[in-house]
Amino acid sequence: MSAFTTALLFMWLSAILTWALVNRGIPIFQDLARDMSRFFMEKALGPGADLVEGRPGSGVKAWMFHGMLWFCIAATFGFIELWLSHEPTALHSLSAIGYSPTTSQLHDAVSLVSYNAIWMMLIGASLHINARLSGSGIASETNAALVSFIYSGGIMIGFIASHLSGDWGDYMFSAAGIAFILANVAVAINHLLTLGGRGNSPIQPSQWLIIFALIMPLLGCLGSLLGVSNDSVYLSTVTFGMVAMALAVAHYVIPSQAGAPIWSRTLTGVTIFGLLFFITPFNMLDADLGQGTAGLLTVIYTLSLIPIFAAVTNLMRTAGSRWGSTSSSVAASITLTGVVLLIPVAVGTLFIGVDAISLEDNLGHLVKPMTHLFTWGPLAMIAIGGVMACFPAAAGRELFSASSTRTSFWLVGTGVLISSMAYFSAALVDGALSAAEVVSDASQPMLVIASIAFYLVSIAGIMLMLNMIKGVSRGTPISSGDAGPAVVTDRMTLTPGSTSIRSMMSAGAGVDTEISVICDNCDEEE
Amino acid sequence: MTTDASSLPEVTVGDEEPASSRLLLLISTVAALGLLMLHNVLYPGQDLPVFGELVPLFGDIAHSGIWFFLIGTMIGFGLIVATLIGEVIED
Repeated sequence: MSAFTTALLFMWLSAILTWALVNRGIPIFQDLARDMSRFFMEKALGPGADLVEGRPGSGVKAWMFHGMLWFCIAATFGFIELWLSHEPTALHSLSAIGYSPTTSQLHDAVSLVSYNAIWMMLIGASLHINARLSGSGIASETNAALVSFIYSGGIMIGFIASHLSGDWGDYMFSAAGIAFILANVAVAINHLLTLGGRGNSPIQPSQWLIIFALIMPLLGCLGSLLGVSNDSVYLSTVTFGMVAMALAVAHYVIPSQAGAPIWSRTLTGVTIFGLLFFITPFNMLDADLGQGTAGLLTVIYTLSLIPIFAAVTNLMRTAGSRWGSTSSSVAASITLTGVVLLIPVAVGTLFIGVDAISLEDNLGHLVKPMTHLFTWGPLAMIAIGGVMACFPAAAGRELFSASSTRTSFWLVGTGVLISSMAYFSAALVDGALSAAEVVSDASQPMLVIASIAFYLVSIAGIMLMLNMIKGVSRGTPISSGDAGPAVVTDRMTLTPGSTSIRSMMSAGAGVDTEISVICDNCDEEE
Repeated sequence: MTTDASSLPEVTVGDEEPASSRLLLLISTVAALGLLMLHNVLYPGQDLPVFGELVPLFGDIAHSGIWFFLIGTMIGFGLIVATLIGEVIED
């Protein structure tokens, strides 16, 4: 059995074990594990826990504020990276104050900050989503808020480390990695405790995706430490975590803003389990998964398109069932745009990923633009949609300006689409010239357009951040009854037996829902 | 009646700002920037002036057009800090 197959089996078994433990609980040790976790989440932190107040919504706000700040920084440096690709000497004057990063250093810094900024925004949204769907609030607001500072510190250390070479760079990367893992473990435990407080209500699709998105990368990390996984399979679990978390947010934001239940339960199941068992080629464009695995990997990459198509179709039909509500909500609109962009990114990365594992490298020049589109298209847009939808509910106030929110949406949408198209065009021109062994700067005008268009994303991030800061103190207050999702279905069919109003409401029932009980044998029994 | 009517100003400005006005402003700005391409048509071979040429104080450092954009971002980050401090003090 090859190392790749062993790693894959380890991940699949871990996923099944996680599903069983979350569904059934830990036998015998259930209460002990819960009490110990609660102790370590708050009391064991000692004076550290007193640094934050732990008011309702404080965890969500802390993660989203930190995430948005890093988003603005990442977008600014992303713009600088794109600009330097056509004018490498643009910032040479800064070398006088010691800032002269190489192209790869800047690329690493932008990748690290953008990926983790988006992750922070998604985590913030996930905390709100799990708390709402569980109906019990976040298990520990104090811990959630405190841990956001640890994660943010990790990004800061990683950002500095990206600009360093040698031992100090490696040490700081290790420190940043430890901060990320510790913070993710704390958030995962917080989510599990929150889920444990939901009572008898069923676990919703978004909650499953959140749990798997947090647990699988940690298990991938554990597998690497135990020697049963390799770096590339670990990278695939990190990518899985990001995609699953983005889809978890999308599976909450779109139905709740549209006011309609998720269209298909089957497609939701296919999305969750398909993502778990097939490696999506997103972000796996230069991964070394080992020799002799090309055939198996190509099959797995291709099959991973099924859950992506299922998710996109499901969410589009959900949004379409109440198109008026969806289109009038900026949060739903930007989330849906991000979801739709998953299709071209999935198909594109399949081609590039298969080309990468074939070692022919015919499409290597498209790796950077595809990574650019994947990061700032689906991931960033869904993360922004999550912030726009969940932040006001967590803060108890609307964002300060509705028109500013809508402008942010248009700026991000326009900036990402135009910059990606121009970046792809430039890469294709460069690839063609390189194949013909011609030295030319024909791609320069397209890179200029790409960089200027991407500047809009940076401005949109700053506008949204300002909107959030003003909204916290001066936004229109939301009454507690308005903050939740308004998912309502017109008609619902039940089979005989007992159920609770909570279960029916979580399945989409409202006060005006018409409920029919279908019973084939009732007449015979009477 | 006539006294009341004469006290009304002939011209007033509405309090509610229509959202489309900002959109129009944005489109106008983008169109104006787009028309900068005329510079290359009228003066081929001559680049647009960069920040360092316009502001003597930055003559030694800002030799690239990127500085126009970076100044905008710096103002944006400055606004974030100023707004944050302002909101905290106001509370």
